[in-house]
Amino acid sequence: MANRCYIRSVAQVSCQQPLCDDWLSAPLSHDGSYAGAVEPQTRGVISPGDARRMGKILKRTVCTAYSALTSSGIEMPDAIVTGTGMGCMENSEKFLTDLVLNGEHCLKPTLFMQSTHNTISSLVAITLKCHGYNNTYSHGALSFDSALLDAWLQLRSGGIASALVGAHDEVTPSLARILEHTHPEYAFISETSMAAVLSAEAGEGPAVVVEDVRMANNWTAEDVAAYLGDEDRVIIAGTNGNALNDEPYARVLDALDAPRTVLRYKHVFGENFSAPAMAFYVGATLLTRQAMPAFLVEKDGGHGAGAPLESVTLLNHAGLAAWSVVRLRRL
Amino acid sequence: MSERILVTGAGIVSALGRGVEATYGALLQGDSRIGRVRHLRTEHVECPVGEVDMSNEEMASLLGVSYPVSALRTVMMGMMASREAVDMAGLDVGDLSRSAFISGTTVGGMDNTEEHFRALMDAEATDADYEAMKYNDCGASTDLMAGALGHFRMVTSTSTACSSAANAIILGANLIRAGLVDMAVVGGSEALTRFHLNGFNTLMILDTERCRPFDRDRRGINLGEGAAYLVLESERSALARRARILAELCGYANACDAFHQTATSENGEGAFLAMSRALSMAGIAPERVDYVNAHGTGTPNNDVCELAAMRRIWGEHLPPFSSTKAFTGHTTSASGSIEAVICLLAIMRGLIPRNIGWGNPIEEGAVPVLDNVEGADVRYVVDNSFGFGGNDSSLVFSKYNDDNGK
Repeated sequence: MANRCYIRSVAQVSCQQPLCDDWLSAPLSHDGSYAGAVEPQTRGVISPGDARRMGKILKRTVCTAYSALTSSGIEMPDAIVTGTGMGCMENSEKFLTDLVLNGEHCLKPTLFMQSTHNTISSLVAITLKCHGYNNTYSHGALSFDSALLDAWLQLRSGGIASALVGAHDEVTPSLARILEHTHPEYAFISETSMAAVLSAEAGEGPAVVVEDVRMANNWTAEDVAAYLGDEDRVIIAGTNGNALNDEPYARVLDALDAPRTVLRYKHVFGENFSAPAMAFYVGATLLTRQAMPAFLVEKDGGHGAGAPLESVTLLNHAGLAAWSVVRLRRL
Repeated sequence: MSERILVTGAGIVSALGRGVEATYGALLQGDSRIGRVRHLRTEHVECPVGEVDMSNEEMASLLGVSYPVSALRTVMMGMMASREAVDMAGLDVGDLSRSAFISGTTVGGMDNTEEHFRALMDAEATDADYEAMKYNDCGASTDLMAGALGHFRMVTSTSTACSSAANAIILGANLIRAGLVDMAVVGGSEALTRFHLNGFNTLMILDTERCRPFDRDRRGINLGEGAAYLVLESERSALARRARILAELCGYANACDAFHQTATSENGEGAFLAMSRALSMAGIAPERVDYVNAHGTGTPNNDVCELAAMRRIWGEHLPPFSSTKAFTGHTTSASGSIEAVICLLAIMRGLIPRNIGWGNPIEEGAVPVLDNVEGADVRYVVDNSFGFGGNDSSLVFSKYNDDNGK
């Protein structure tokens, strides 16, 4: 008998107010195609000396991890599993700039030490003194889903009893410019950090579980539709208003028999390789709060106003025929 | 009893050559393949490296690939090694559709990024510069390798620096155990780049002579490059299709040292936990280990801490151990799978490779394997891979024994 995987807490830093749910009632709106993150207060979480040395993504990571752990009541997770598409981009870019402009001498070790993708997950482990399983996935828009799948499998099998799972990407102005060229399907580029605490045991609040995590590399729209069952009534899709991005989602929704309520999130939180983690954050938040703000609703599939929200299905298209489906359910 | 995970294919390219047979031949011969840099364009010619002795053009020609793949050394090496693994296992198109492809890399297409970076920073980049950036993140590298083989059920990338390939192997095994796939092509690929050669150089942990793992006077790493992949398969699937079984992956674990981003704790806590958890999963007493392929980078810090961790498990009587990094250089993200192939050769061919460059012990009794041992009866091996951030992974491979007796 597989263990359940409860979502004990979620926390985010993004272009919305950090480490809170203010976006539910008063979402910040952003003009233009790129918005940086609203930085969290680090005081009380990171010492001023450490904060000076740490890059932005590392500070956001520590703050979201700290926030999620604190509200979960779990101080020491059994595992830390992280997704990041580009890792510590700011430091990598600085190191590379020095290398290209000034040659291969007089480079700064700190920039390199804090430039690998797993600097992020390691920093959390070092901060917590957590000796448990630690892994990092860097696979484009499936980085978070890969991390979630890994933790979910280990929780279900009983290998671990809790996990801190997250996804983090920082987007420098030059990376934003590059992404506009390399990812013409994007609409609004942003920076996001998300941390969630998963546990085999329910916490005190409403019980929300991760029921299924599925990654596929070779699915047609019909395959996706076939995998989505009748119970997947409310779908959080990765649509963003850009036809290049939305067309595969439209084909899936067309292939479904019954109408579904489709929610979107990328117009609120923006897009980068870690954005699918924000769908997880939104889904968990809506199930916990029993909320469904109108600005998230892209297509009303007849989910009655005031009707209880039982489950949310996250649908993420990650390029070509790669998809992920995550099912969250309120018990 | 959970599903047993078998190894039914392997492929490798490194400074030791291309293919499992060439690698075996080079190990048997016993000479280091570390030398002066030839293919990477770097000012640091004082740092010896273990390069795959082919230019990008030669790799592209061998593989029959054109741009952009021809500009992505990590991808091309990965294609060579993963193709060999899939062919050895005899996987067909139908098999791939019930398989995962999981690859570890950290630099991805950084070598190609370096070529276009100046133009990109000047904001005078051409479409070609932007086009190149489509293929340079870790996931894009993996997608290109997987796509060259066929249609996998799922594809992802681990990126935990020098333990990346080992962690890809761990995920693959967990996916098979969970029944999500029957097989997984798992490993890692990493090309030398100016980025990480210079990065390691700023940390002052590159030796300007050939590296000397576990030697008292060791001074650091020689970087290397390469790729290696294993085909992991559930016992049920392997037996059903009468696959040739190379070995069993009977234990694995990852633990975090949680001490420092680039240094290891004195008592090697993370390494100790990784090894002891992997051995516990394998269900064997430590004394039954016939060979440890150590991480053994040759830095003053790693080797003494890894020894400390081994002492905590084995006490005075260490099993035969060696670092093969003086053969290949430190192949960073690929090292976990490259050394896994070397461990498979120990099991399959009875070859325990020597630890080149050793002269004096770090501490009394800590003497690695100094001469190749041939014809050894190797039943259990431990493969260590430790990455930055204290990301420590250990794998236990064993001779496959179908009577289930341990």
